[in-house]
Amino acid sequence: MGLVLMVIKSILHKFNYDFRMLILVAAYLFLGLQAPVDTIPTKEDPTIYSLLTEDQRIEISESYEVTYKIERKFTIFSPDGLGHAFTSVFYNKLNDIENVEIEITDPLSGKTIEKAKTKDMTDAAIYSTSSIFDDNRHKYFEVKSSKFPIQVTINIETKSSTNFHLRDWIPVHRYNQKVLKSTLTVVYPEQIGLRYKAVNLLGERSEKAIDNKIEITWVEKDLPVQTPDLKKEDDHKLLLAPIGFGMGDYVGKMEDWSGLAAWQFKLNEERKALPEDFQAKLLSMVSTASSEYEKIQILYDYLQKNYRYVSIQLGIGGWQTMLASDVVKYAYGDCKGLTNLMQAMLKAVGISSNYTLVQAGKDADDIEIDLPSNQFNHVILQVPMKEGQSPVWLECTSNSLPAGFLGDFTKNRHVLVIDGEGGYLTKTPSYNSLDWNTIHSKNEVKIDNNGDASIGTRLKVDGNFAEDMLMVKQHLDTREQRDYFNRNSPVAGLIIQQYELSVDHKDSLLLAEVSYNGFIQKFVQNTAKRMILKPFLGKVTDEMLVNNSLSQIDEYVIELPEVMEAENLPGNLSIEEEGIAVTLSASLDGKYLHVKREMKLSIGEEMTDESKSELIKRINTLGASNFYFIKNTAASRNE
Amino acid sequence: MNKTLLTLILILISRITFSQIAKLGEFSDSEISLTEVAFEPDASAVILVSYGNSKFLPGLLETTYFIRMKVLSEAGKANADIRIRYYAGDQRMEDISGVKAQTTNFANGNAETVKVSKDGIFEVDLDGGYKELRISFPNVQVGSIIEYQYKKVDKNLTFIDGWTFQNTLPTLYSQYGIKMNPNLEYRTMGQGQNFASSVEKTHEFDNYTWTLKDLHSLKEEPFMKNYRDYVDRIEFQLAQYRTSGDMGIQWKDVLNTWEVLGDEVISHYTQKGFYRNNPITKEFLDVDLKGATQLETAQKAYYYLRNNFRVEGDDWIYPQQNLNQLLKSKVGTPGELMLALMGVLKSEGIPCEPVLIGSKGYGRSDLVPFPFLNQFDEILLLAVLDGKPQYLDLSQPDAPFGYVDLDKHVKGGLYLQEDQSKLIPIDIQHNSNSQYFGRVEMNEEGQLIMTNSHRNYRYRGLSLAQEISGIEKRKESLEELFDKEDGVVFENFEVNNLLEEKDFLVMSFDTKFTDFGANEMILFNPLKFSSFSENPFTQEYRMFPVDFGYAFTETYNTVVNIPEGYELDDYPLEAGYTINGEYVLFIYSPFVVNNGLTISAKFVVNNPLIPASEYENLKYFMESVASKLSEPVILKKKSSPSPN
Repeated sequence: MGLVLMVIKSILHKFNYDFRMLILVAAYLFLGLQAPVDTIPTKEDPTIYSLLTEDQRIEISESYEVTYKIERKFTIFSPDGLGHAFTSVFYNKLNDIENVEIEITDPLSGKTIEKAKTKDMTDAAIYSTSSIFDDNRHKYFEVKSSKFPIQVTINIETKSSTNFHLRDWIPVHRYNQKVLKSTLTVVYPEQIGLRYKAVNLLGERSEKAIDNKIEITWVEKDLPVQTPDLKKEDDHKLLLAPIGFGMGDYVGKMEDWSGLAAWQFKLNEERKALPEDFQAKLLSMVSTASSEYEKIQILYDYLQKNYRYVSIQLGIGGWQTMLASDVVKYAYGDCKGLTNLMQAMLKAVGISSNYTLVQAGKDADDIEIDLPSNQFNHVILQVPMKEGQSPVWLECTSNSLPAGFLGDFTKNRHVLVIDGEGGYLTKTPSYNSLDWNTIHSKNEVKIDNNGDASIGTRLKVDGNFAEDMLMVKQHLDTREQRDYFNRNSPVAGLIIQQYELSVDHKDSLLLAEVSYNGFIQKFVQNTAKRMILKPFLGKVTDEMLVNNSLSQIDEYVIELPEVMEAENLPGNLSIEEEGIAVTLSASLDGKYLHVKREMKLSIGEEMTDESKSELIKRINTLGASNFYFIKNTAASRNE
Repeated sequence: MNKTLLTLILILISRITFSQIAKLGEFSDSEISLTEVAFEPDASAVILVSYGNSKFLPGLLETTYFIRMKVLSEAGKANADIRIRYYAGDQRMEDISGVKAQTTNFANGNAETVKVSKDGIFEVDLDGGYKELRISFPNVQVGSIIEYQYKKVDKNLTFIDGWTFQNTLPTLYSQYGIKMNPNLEYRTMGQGQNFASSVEKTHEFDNYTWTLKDLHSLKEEPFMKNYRDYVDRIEFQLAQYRTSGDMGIQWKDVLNTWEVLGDEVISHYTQKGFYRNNPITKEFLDVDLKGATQLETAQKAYYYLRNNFRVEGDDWIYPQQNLNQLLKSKVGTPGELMLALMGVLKSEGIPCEPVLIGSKGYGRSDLVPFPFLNQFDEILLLAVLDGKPQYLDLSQPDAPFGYVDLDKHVKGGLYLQEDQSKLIPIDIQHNSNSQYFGRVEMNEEGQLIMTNSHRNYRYRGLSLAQEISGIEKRKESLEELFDKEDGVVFENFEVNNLLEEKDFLVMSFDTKFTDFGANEMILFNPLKFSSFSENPFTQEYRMFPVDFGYAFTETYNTVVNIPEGYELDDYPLEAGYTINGEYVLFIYSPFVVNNGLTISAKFVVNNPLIPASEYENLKYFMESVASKLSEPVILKKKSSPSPN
């Protein structure tokens, strides 16, 4: 025990850890525990790969510069924890690295194993496959060791020339990491101000004023260890936003959404001028258009056909658009450049529109609407229409969506509309009525004597579902398209021989039609007495109900190889509930099996995910039954 | 005409021919009118011309690159952002200059060309000494022709990158030319089916060209990860160079025999200390590695290194650290650890040498039978244990002794031994089969239970062990190994990893079918578990062969004990499938015995590399197998209670 105490002392001396950590380290080192000593080790407790104590200080200056100072102390117990101490420090034109120091020590001997400074770190571009021009780089350092435990102390100091965006504070960085203590202190001039929103924080906050500066400190201790099944909404975090802010020569106030919008307006105000001949060309293009919507369609179509998306994010250019005239000159631009150009084009023909900030992404979370701050990564355009009409939304980076349809990248979420010199929050359309979620398939199947089948299918999909078809048409070659339909067919073994895929639109509504003739290998399974059809009705998935509505009809006429007796024809099955109508009918007429499934689902927003899953399960059970037929000539048994 | 003049004219003609394949902005009528590629009609863009032309400058090789591409559809516009990666390192080993790029559109038959301005060209420093030149083309429309050219100089004259003829887009014309230096003699290495069968080669004086036309685009396919082994390309290695001195003009060999090449590599390893005995002896002074046999000693040494050192970094033939650094850090690349293992075995008197190999996917499906170092990328060890050869590999931290990473199961390698290095064939025999056994019964609660025991040998066992270890690390249930199914519960998992002792891993578990209740008819799938219960081949056609990696057999046996009160009503029929050449085979046999049914099946891959020409048959075969494997057994309640 003497040795244990001696080593504990050396650890205490070396790291000045608090007593709680001391106990933990000792337990890990000498007792071989797989969990902190203050909990009863059970099999369900997650394994801890590292312990962390972190102290972070953010200081905002009167000229809107921000200094970040971070000190991290890790104890790493296994190779799995080495990644926890991986240090990557971001920099670009707006953010500089002031200093980084890393020290790796052996807690048993207290000896330093390795030291590293900024110059010892690897410098590399942060590789983006989507952004062709950007200045995002990082310096990184990987901790390597075959001995455990090790202790790693990391000090990082960085400086940002703008307080426009303050990083979220998320005290638990990694799964299987025990955060013993994490502290954040933010110091800011009183006149600049700060807003924040605490989410699931369990610790304490203290605030004091020193001269004309305010200092707020948050302390979190002994946070639960997280594992990959953690739900995003359960994580502990603190969101920060400045009130007064500046970037380059542009200063603004984020005390409400309108303030942020006004700043964004100023940033792009002088960047919309178009060459005169180009303006004249636009006017002539819309000269015969009979409505505003038609004009929008004509110009949007022109933009889509002639300007392509190229991601360019350099310095303040990450927030400020390229000049509209440069986009015209190069015929490319990023989301800001293309949206700004479209806005300028509309203005040239007398239609006003609003540059709109959005947090894009198919699975992106909605923004925190009660914390006006930069929570956006993309720009779209809103064109207000006459009173009583919904605005027309334009995704200017798409070269295929119809005017007025945003697609799942930006639909159904809060956005910040930059309206003149101010702005407001609104929501983009959710496209959740039945018209926008329609599928209708008609299928004729003929089974041959080998159990294979030929199939002729006509599939019409409208609205949201047609967006997938649009992507298939645009991005896949013929072989890949066939493969897509083969893989996504409810019946395994489909080989498409001839097919046609067309995507069109009626105003904003996307319409897709697929027709194909193909061959289904082994559509039928033969047992000694029976012929069994593979399940052929497509399953409803969570993804299909993401818009809370579905109108789907599937019709099948299946020609059997001969007249047979059906063993389990379901007749008519149905589910009838509020907002839900599902019917399945099957009948045998000679050797023709007729199956029809109709679904009309309008689910209330309030339905929980669990109830939705349960509903989907019931619908799928209805359609999942195999069809069994008794053979007329029983095959010989292998007895 | 005198002879000198004739020679000069010929040279001029050849140079003119050589340099006039294509010039910026000079298009043929067929290029202007082209709207689709005959052999890939749906291609979104096409490379019309792609050529490289190399010449020697003092201490450098300069290659001029020229690419002309046409956009054929909206999707093809995505090809108008170009990224060119090159290795600059600390000493500017490669450098790019003279970039010119332009877009040409054709309006009413007139060509309108826009040059890419400086704003459209961007250079990025990546990681590890690599740089990337990025070009974004302006005014790109469907029908645009985009072109770019640049010069790249390379200080490495021993190995010349050469040329890859194929691209991710279909390529109509791809040519590489090189003007050789009379003082340098190179060996040429070509690869790929098109290169072997259809390359057009010209040779005039010192000028050489290789041309391929109408090349399909390269696309990923399942069961093929070593695309690079099949891509058409050509590269070069210096064989001799000419010097002049007191002895007059002399030719000096460079790595011109396997022995010399081997000694060169051995010398590199020696410089790094891996052939030194002292550090090893010192490090392993307190470790008892002595076994009763050389095999036992080698096993102890292998496990000692595997368990006390950590593998990290790329598997590569060149060690980064020297032996002392490795012994201190105890973290090393697979190559470093293997060279250390070699030292340990040698210090125990066990013959052991490294073997360089070109791993699967590195780009050499077949070794070139002359000393070409570029064809090797990884190391194996060949030890002789108690008179028997044994390959050793330390690249997988959880693999038992004698297991060699599957990417290293290649046909041959370079055995390194001072003055005696040579190419040797490699044939690593292994039995990596799977045996699935199941027993179906009804329990006292009236639930149907399938008791399963899956035995997976060697590499299949290792692969499953790795999967299980990942699941256990995440503290998840082994149910994760299977797709979720309504009414089916997996429980009572037991894993017995006997890979080190007996070369197999056994996983036992029960499958409970919960949805039957008091049904009149019970249906279940007797062969629930197979790697092939779904057909992985859905694509219409195939460009590359299908590679299963190695030959193996999956055997399935399920015994159905018919529960009291039920009778066997129906079951799948006997079947057997194969394809031409019997690359694969499937046999399915049901047997009815007294009060039960036994179903046996076997899936055999006899020859793991199946040519693309057999793809259609293979696909049908796999669908037939998948369908057969999902056929049900049907039990029916007896109409009256059975006499007891």
